[in-house]
This record gives sequence, C-alpha cells and structure tokens, in this order.
Amino acid sequence: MVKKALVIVLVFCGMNLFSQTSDLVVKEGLLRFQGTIGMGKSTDRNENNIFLHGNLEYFIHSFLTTRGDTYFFLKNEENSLDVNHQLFAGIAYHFSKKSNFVPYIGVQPGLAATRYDGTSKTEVTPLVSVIGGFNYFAAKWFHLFIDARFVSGEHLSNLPPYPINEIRLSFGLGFNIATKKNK
Amino acid sequence: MTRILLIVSFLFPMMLFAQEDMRPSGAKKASGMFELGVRNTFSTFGATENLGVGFGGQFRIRVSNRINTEWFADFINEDIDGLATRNDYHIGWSVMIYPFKDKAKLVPYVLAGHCFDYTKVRTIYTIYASYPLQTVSRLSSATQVGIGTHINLSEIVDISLSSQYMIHLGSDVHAETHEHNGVKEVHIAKEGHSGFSLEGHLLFTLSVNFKIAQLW
Repeated sequence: MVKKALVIVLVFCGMNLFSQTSDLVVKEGLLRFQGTIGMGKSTDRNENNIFLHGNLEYFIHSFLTTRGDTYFFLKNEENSLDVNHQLFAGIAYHFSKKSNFVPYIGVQPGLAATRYDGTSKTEVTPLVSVIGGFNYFAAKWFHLFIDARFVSGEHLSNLPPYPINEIRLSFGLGFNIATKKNK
Repeated sequence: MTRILLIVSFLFPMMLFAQEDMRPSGAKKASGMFELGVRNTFSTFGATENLGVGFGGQFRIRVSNRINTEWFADFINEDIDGLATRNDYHIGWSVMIYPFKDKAKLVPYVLAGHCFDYTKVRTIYTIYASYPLQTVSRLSSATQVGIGTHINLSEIVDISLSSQYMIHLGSDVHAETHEHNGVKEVHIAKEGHSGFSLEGHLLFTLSVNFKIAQLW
C-alpha cells in the first residue's frame, strides 16, 4: 500500500510544474469540502482500516484554514475493533501563494468512539493527529487532493489497552466555493 | 459518549463564525476579545507515572491588554501499566497574564486558576486480575499554575503551548503497581475518606484558537 501511495504522490507532484497560473482559486473565504474513502495502516499491527472520510475547510486567510474531519469506520475481517469512528478539528497551514497546487500541513486534536469487536460498551478515546498533503485547485469549483494523516490514540476499556496509532491516506475529488467576492 | 460527541460537533460551527465581517480586526482593542478553540492535553508525572492523553476545548474572554481568561473542559485517558485505566474529566478556568508585550509572533504568559474534576480508575480483565473488577471514582477540586506561549499565526489564529502543575484537593484515587512472584499487580484505593489529601500532576496543553468576536 505504501508503494502505491508513493507512486500516486509522485504522479501528482508533477502537477506543480504546470500549475502556475494568474487565476488563483485559493483566496480568503474559500470553502472546500469533500467526501471520499480513507485507508489506514496500523503502526502497531499488521492491520488495515477503511473509512468513509469527509471534511470541511474554510480559508481564514489564503494561507491558513480551519478544518474539521470525520471518519466513519467500515469494519473488515482483520479489525479487532468493530467501532472506530473519529472526529477531528484544527488548523492547516498552506504553503503556496502563487500557484493552484497547494501543499499543506496541520494539526487536529480529535475524539474517537471505539469498541472491541464482540463487546457492548463503546468508549471515548482522545486522539492526537498531524496532517499533510496537497490540493490542486484545477477549476473554480473543484480540486484534486491527497491527504495523509498520522493518528495517535489508545482504546482503553476493561480489556487490555489497544493502541489505535495509524497512518492514513485519502485522495479524490473535492469541491470548493468562494464565499467572498474578489476585492 | 453521545453527549461528548455532541459537544465536539458544536465546535465545528467555528468555521462559519470565521467570516470576516464578524471577525475582530487587529486594529481594535484587545479587551473584549472572544476566542474559541480545541486542544490536546497530556497528563504526566502523576502517581502512576504513565502518560495520559486528552481531548478538550476552551473559550477565552480577554479582560484587558495584559489579562486574559480561559475556560476549559478536558477528557483525559490514561493506561496504568496495562492493568487498569484512568479517566479524568476536567472543567475549569485560568487567568492568563501577559508580562511582556502582548502583540507579537510569540506572546508568553503565566497562568493560574481553578478546576473541578471527576476521576475514575478501573481494573481491566487479565489472566491475573482479581474478580470482580474494581472501579474507584472521586470528585475533587484543584488549583493550577503554569506558563505558556501563544504562537500567533495571524491576527485571528494562534497555537498555544502551555505547561501547568495541577494539584487536587479531595479524596485521592491511588493506583499502585508492583510485581509479586513475577506477576504485575495493581492496587487501587480511595484515600482521604475522613479528611483531605493532595495529588498533583503536570499537564502539557497544545491548543488551536480562533478569535471569533469582539464582545465589548
């Protein structure tokens, strides 16, 4: 999975070369949102997680956003947890000011609802996360994105502790709306 | 749990309130500024010497150029050597004092305040655990003092890092682990039934804050 992800990242990095434009989409007041599939790889076990991933991001400045993310966990056979839904809120710093290819980094504290498979009690798990990736704003209304995240947390219950540290990757098509008129 | 998720979801509308028309401008006075934010809190050097990781939120109301107030709530989870878990719920407030210039990229501050908390420690199922599983909880009040700094990313967004020592006044939930015949055991006891006891821990907080409105 890591190799595939690297190939995708390299392909998209090429966009940086031809994405110079005078018609910049990223401006203060831009609202972007997306819904996609997220893939996670546990750093503690040989286990992969699948999520439905949605986010909403508002550009407070052209370089700074406030952002919320939700991950709806889709259990597969190899998962020890049958509930692992996650919610994040935080900020991201966007680097490019002269291009529609915009890399970013960010930090988002979060919370998870977690439950061991076969048990009945759902626990609340605090999460720490850092994000990185890029958006390529190809048009006024939509963009391509790749979003990577490291999540750290530990599911605690009346069973032995279960770390839910994970590297996660999402990509796809997102939508953007300019909520402010050009000055 | 649903309630906690509901509270968190209320933090998301901060995106909508970030519109420029409502947003305070840097040219305006500092007093009356209302900020909203989310945070991660790390609890260290408690009695069990394990690391607790927490999630929470806060709002700030600035009283003057030199004085700010922070009102916070945290939920902290801690694993006690794989034998028990500890949950701390904090709700409280701090006064933040800016001894140096208050408009810069880095704005250091000292803080002090009060907190109320609910703590629950419970043993977990292991092959060596004694049954039934034990759960001990307590309510207490606390006072905290610390230092921190705002890192101003723009006029309206900052990241804040702080470190504070919090000391709890009330009955103490004491968890102690030790090895007995090569097997790790945990003992949990509620101390100070008839009087008071003190229990302290060091907290580190990383928060992201948005200036939402000028209240006055």
